[in-house]
Amino acid sequence: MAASFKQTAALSTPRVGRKQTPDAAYWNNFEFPVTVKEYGAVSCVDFSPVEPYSFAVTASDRVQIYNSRTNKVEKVLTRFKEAARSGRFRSDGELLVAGGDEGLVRVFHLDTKTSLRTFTGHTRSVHAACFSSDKVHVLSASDDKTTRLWDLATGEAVQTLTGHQDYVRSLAVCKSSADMWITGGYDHTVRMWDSRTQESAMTVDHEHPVEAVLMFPHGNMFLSAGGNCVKVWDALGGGRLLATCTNHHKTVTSLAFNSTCSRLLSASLDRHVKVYDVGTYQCVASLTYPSPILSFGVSPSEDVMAVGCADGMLSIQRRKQEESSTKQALRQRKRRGATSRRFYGRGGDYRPVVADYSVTHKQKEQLKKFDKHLKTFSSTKALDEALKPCYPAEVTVGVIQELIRRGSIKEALAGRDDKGLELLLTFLCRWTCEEKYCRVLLDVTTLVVDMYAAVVGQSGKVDRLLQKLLRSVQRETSHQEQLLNTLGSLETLLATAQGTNTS
Amino acid sequence: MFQHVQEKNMAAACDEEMAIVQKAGANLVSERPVFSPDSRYVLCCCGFVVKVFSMSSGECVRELTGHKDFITGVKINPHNQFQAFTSSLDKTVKVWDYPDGKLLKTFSVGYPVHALYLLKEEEDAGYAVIRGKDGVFNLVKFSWTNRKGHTIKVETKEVLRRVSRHEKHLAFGPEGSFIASVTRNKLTVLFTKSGKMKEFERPKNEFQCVTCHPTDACIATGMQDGKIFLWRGLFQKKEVVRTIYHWHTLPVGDLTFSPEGTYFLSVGQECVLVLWQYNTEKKDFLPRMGSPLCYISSSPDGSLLAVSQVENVVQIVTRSNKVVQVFQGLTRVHIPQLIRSTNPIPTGLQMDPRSHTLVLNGRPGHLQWYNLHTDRHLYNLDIVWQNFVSSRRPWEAPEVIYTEIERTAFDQKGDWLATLERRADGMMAEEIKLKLWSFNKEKQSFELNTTVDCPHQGKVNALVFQPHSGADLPPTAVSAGDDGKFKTWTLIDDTDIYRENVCWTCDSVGTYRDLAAKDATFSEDGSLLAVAFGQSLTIWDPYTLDLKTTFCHTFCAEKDSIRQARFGLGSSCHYLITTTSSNLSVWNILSCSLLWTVSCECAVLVADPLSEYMAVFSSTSDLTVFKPSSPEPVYAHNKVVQSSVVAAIFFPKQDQQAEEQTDEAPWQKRSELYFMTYDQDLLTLQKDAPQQTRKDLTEMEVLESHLPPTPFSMYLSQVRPGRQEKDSPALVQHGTPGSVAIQQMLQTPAHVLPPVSTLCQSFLQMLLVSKSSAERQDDEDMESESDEEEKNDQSETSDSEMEEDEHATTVKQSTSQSEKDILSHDQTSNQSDSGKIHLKETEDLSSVKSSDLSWMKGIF
Repeated sequence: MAASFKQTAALSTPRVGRKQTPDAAYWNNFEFPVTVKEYGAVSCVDFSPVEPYSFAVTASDRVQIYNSRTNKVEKVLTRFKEAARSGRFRSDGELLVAGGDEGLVRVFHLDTKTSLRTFTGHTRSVHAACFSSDKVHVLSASDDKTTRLWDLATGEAVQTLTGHQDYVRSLAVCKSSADMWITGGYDHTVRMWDSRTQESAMTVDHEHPVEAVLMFPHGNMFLSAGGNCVKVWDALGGGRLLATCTNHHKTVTSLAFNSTCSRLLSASLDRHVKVYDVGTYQCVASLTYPSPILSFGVSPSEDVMAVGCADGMLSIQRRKQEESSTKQALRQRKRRGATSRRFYGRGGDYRPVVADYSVTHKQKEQLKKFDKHLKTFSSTKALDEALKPCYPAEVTVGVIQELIRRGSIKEALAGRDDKGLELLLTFLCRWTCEEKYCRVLLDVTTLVVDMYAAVVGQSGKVDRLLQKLLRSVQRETSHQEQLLNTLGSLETLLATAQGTNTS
Repeated sequence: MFQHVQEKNMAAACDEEMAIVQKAGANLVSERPVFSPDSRYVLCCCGFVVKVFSMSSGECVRELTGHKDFITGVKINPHNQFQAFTSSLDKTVKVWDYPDGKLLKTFSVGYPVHALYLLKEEEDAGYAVIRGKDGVFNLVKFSWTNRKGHTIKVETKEVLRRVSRHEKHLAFGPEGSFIASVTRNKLTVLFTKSGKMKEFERPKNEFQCVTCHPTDACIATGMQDGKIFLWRGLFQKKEVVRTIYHWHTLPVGDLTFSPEGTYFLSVGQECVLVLWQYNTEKKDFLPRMGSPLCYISSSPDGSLLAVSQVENVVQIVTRSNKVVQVFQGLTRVHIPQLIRSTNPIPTGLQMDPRSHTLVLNGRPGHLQWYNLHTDRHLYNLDIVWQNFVSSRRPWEAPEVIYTEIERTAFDQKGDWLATLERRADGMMAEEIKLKLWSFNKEKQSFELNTTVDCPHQGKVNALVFQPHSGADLPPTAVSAGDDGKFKTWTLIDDTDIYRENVCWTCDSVGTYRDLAAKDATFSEDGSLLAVAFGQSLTIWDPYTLDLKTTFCHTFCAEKDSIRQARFGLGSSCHYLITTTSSNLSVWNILSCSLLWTVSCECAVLVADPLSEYMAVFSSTSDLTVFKPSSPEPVYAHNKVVQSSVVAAIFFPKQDQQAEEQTDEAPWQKRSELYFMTYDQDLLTLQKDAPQQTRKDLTEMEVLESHLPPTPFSMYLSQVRPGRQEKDSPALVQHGTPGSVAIQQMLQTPAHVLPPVSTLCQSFLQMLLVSKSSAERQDDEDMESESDEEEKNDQSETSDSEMEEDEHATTVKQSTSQSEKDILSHDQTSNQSDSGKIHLKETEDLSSVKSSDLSWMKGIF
């Protein structure tokens, strides 16, 4: 073979808008969501840190524990007289703490569903509560502008911390130190607290009411969300602002890390969950949901994502199961049979020594079917193959372009029967007015219409398709006309503005 | 590097003696290539010379120079395999000893010879196609019986009148029993014994080529409609049997039978080599050869085929369809759409700043890199990445229009290459792509970085990179097109968290009065951008795209728009030179005024990058070299070539530091002016006619001596280095094999041996040799060792003497090396074992070492 056949390239068009990143592919690789209607707005979703990673959903006056495998409710905690808030697991997954509008902080034992402790002291509703990282203390933040540290064993308040000027709505603990936590309040500040002092150790100004805070496990950096921005703060550097992400256009309501803390996820009332790279704080992926999001959670295995919405919808998504390589190997073995494998694979582990003359087997290049037809110059067959719906449009347009280059587009289009013509017209109807293909396809459409003018009226289906084609072209022309009109009036305005400026 | 004078181009009268010479890139495929009888060489006609290519290395090892006009054919003497006959339009036939490149005899025929045929049966006679006085081509026989001397005037005897001048249009039957000749629609067969003639006509078809079976009375003809006819039964009185073989859709290019006659091969414009079995319908193909094929010839033993391609390539193909060797000249553009246009090389001549090689259009959709100094084709870069589809039959519309590269540009350092490809057939939408390639230092080739689809609507007239004077700015390129826009493209950072990447993007777009932008150029330091719009030349600031000033050719006719614009270089960098179809004007940028203008029809304007000289070729091929500062020409040469000049370049000389020859014109001191004619001859100007400064013959002989003469020596040359390496460590391990004492020492069990400290002295003394006897003894030792070695290693005894000698020396070398190793090894072991070493012993050791070195000197 003198030279190998060069495969037909798909028509490449510059991608407008966001590029497809590996992260976007990863975070969009979920199965179709299971949607559950909750009793009210879902204010908190928290995954258990231990397997089987069941998750607690706080909505209305109850906290429900879902099984992440079956998506069914396992347990319901209904001790609340008013709305429950912030149902969160302890790091061993055995206890759960929840605040509530009644001002109480309750600790539940999950296996028995019994209420172990009820901490009283807050005068207004408690919107955030969680366990400290030493497992024996509970933290709560309340609308009465205070944060309290409770002792689990005695049920007494150890500390009552004041400093915030407004509601304290968010709370996060440092995993590496039991004495450190941060709170975010509606007074636009995020405060870092140390249990060894009464005063707040550090205060930073977020410039918006803070809806959520989050701390890196190493405790060196923390994040705050409020308004439409997420801010990254350097705790070691004395509360220096490191980065600001303003990818949302409505209030950011919730923050979370993925399992390795290499990605940050934020949810917002603008119905999006955005994924950021924690090195650069660039948005690398975006997920869209049907209604404003109040809370969300990602399972530690990153297999399940639960998103709670303001309209009480809970959407549970499971990652698509990839077929593991072992399974594939098993299936292959089944197909071939163990004996043939032994037969064909014999000597497979032989390593050639220096004196051996090794004969290399040249892998034959795999060509697509339409390329095979192009190789044998059968243009009609190549076009028929490329028009099949299994190929994306850019591949089909690439083949059409190649046929134009060869000067054989007319032969490929001519002499089609009803079925072939239908296939062609369906494709043209769909894509002729698409901006990236219209340069190529308009010429082809003109050719087809010229060629098959004689057969109009012979087949109902073809006529209908031609009508459809006409309509779509008309729609596009009127659209273009409108655009030109707009452009013209804009230009007039701009010219006038320039004229007045200079004068 | 070969050079020859094209006398017909010398006509012009000029003030200095300057000759037009073709320095590189001659046509290899004007005639059929010929194998030497042992298939070691291939002979190709190449302009005024015959090039002898070596099969094993692919190098041109000999050039047969001496003809004064184009060579029309080369043939091996069937009675002496070291002689070759060449025919030429200079009315001579010459006999050469081609392995040595010596001219033996010259036969003066008296007429231009267009084709040459030699028969095995006639020892001192040949056939030639000559152009008679009446302008008709005739086949004549000339014989040189019993003539002595170097130059012989031979008599010609007419054999057949009115033949075609092409070699492939005439063939001789087995043992010269008949002559088959084709002219347009007619096949004429002349039976040499009886003198009878048979004629066959195909009124609706044209004969393209003819060949005869080596043993049977059978003629094969290739037709214009792609059919191949086999004509058999020529000697029978009955109707001649005609068999049709039809695969080709386009005219058959060439036909040849295998030496045994069991199959025949045909080539054509389909780029496919077709092998047909004689007497059966079976055929085999070698597809996608790359470009249309024009000639095929088979080696005398039938194992190899030489296929000539119109793009100036000869490929050697084995019977198993494997390409084993490629002889490539300057690739010629052959696609019809470019041949028909006024400029077959739309990219012009460019220089790759990195490798200092010439870059221009080559294969369809490729750029070629050509080294002018060594006259070698380096490589092709596939820009378009499309399959080459052969043209359609003439009556089939539409014709295939190929995507062709129209503009290329290199940035200053050669890191970036911009190419612009375009396909416009006038019926479908245009396809235009701007591609930017980055140079990959690891792979040493260009890699595609960015593709811009449809950068301009319509033709793009200019593509240039902005020269940067060391500033740390991103590279910038400018393209200008017929759509009235010029766009600047800049490199931007496209790095994200996944990969590091840079890509090109359109930075800004400029227009001027909706006129088509015809040319764009940067000043030497890149601080000004000049874009030609119609009659106006606009000067822009490339960074802010502010219009600085405008020069207008108001004195020109209405439709006379600017074709080219160039900034002066060096000391005349403040001048701007513009050409229109009738004027050449120079503007001063400092005073914004017209400096001078002359009336001349300019086709090509080039500037020397190393000096301030510029050259302009008019559309009637008149060359003028000038300085922008004055309208006085530095050099003028009228009518450099018959055809038009389509591109030119000042190419920097290879050795800039070398002594500047005083007899050279000042404008030629630093660069040579190369130009490409419409016929794709790459020519240059040189001071007076060169005295056949041939390539260094010694260099060529060295080259040939490096070639492996036999398969066995080739095997040896591969095997030898490997074995040396393997043997020497083994010797180090086992000690000196010849020494009895050491063998004893090694065989005795370690526990009965005396302490090492006592052994050491005796061991060293054993090694010590008195200086007088050292050389002799050692040599003997070595000799015996090497003999042993040879017996062990080498079972083949059929080696040639020379190689045996060589082998022996290498073995000696390795043993001596090993002995030295032992010494040093023992020395260290002594130190470690006994803990101390006597001063005397060290002295002894040093003497051993010195003696050791001395006998080593003796060996070498």
